[in-house]
Amino acid sequence: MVPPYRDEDAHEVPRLRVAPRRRDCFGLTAADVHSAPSMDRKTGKRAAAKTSAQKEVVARMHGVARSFGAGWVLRDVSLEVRAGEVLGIVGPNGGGKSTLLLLLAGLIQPTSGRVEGQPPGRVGLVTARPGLYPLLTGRENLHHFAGLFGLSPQAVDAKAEPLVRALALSASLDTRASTWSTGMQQKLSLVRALLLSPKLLLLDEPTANLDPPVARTLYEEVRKRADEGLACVLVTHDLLAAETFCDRVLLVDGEVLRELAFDARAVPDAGPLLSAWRQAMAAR
Amino acid sequence: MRPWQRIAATEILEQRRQPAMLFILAANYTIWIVLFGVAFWAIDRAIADPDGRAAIEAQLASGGVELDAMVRLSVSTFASLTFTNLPLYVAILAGYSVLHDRSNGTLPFLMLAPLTRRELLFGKLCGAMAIPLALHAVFVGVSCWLLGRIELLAAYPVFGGSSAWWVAFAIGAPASAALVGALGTVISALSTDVRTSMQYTSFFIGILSLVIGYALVDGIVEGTGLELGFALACALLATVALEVGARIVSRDVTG
Repeated sequence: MVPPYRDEDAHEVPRLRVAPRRRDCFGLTAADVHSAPSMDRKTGKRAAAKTSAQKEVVARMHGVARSFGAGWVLRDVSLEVRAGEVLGIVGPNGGGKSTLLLLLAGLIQPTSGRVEGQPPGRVGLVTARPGLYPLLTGRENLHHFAGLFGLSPQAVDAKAEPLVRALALSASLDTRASTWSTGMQQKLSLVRALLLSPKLLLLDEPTANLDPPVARTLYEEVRKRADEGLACVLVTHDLLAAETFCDRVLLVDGEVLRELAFDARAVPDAGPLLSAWRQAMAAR
Repeated sequence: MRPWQRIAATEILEQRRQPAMLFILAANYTIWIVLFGVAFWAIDRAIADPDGRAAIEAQLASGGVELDAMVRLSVSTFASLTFTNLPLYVAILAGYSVLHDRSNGTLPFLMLAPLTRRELLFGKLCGAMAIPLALHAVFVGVSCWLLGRIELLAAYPVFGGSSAWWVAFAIGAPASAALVGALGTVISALSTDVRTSMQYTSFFIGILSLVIGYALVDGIVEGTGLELGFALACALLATVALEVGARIVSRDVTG
């Protein structure tokens, strides 16, 4: 378990480490980017004052570095993930975003530094690839993965039922996963991740290859869970999704990790193209 | 159900969903049995008649071969092939077991579960052994029993009946298959692509399977004690291979 949060830990939030005028991978300068506290999505107000000391820290990294062979993917990374927040991770390809997520999941170990995560069964994972057995049905896939945690098929069915219904998968659950669209497979991957009531949900580009409405559905479900207290970390290249669904967004490019400030009130709820898409689909 | 049992059950379920693969495995057994069975039956019928026997012996003698030596070699070859099939099939299935999860994207989700590497490898091995074992029990058991009815082959102990044969059939073949399967499972866990895994599996383990087939038949000829010793040695080596494999297989699933 993660130890209780202490105020003196607050200084461990990463600081700027680049020259103020140097532009990063997004063309941002340090003037555009600064270490910012959590933001309330609805009001746009900084929420750190009311939440940071109160909400439980679910996962934490202290000065973590990770190398693969001779190359360093991450260096001196420190961060915290709190219950009820969606923490966005953005950055260039090869910047170490997925590595950071694997470290939080406990799937790889840091070369140096310390990661305090959650025990098995308390971490949900959704990756860009759904990671299902194609010859098994959706239900059998759920039975298999949840069964590894000791859940009986009956318990899995009972727990999955509301999730499956919410994500409109009920009609296909007993057909083979190989016959499903990528979007359906990814939704089932989310069901699998949420099935064990995790405290930490890790999403690594979960909407890659998904059409926008399905991606939106998936993000909305994640946001809903976060509002109920789940801690989520979302690695994405979709900046609009990060702006819309994340409370905080960190920029990771290997050695530098910092928080990007943005005004949540300025983010449209849904773009006009997405609205038109939905209307056209609804009219069919 | 324990985690390794769950892994094995899913592995078996996936194999059952591929009837073409099961058909090929069963067809391979059937082809060998039909080819050799018909040949043995035909020779048996021919040599029942003294004139026929003399004609065959004369024909073989022209090539410098004795009838008894020819039959003995054929029997040995057939018996070895039947015992080679089990480790070979297990090797093929095991050689793709963990790699299948890696290429499928399911490996990270398995590693998130409270599952040790030893349990993962053991579950995969059990899953890879189940269906080949069932085929072994049906095809080798039935065919050897049937061929043992042919008078020509009654003099050879490799077609059932002797206690050494039963040890080879019920313990030796599964134990040696477990050894080959354990090596295959570890290779599949270390491999990052199908080509590498299949190259190692088919080349290295294919030859090993052939050697095992002949060793089992030789063990039957030599007697129960030697056969039992061979089986126990295989089981011990399989345990060591699995344990060493579990230690060297990285938990990193970034590949």
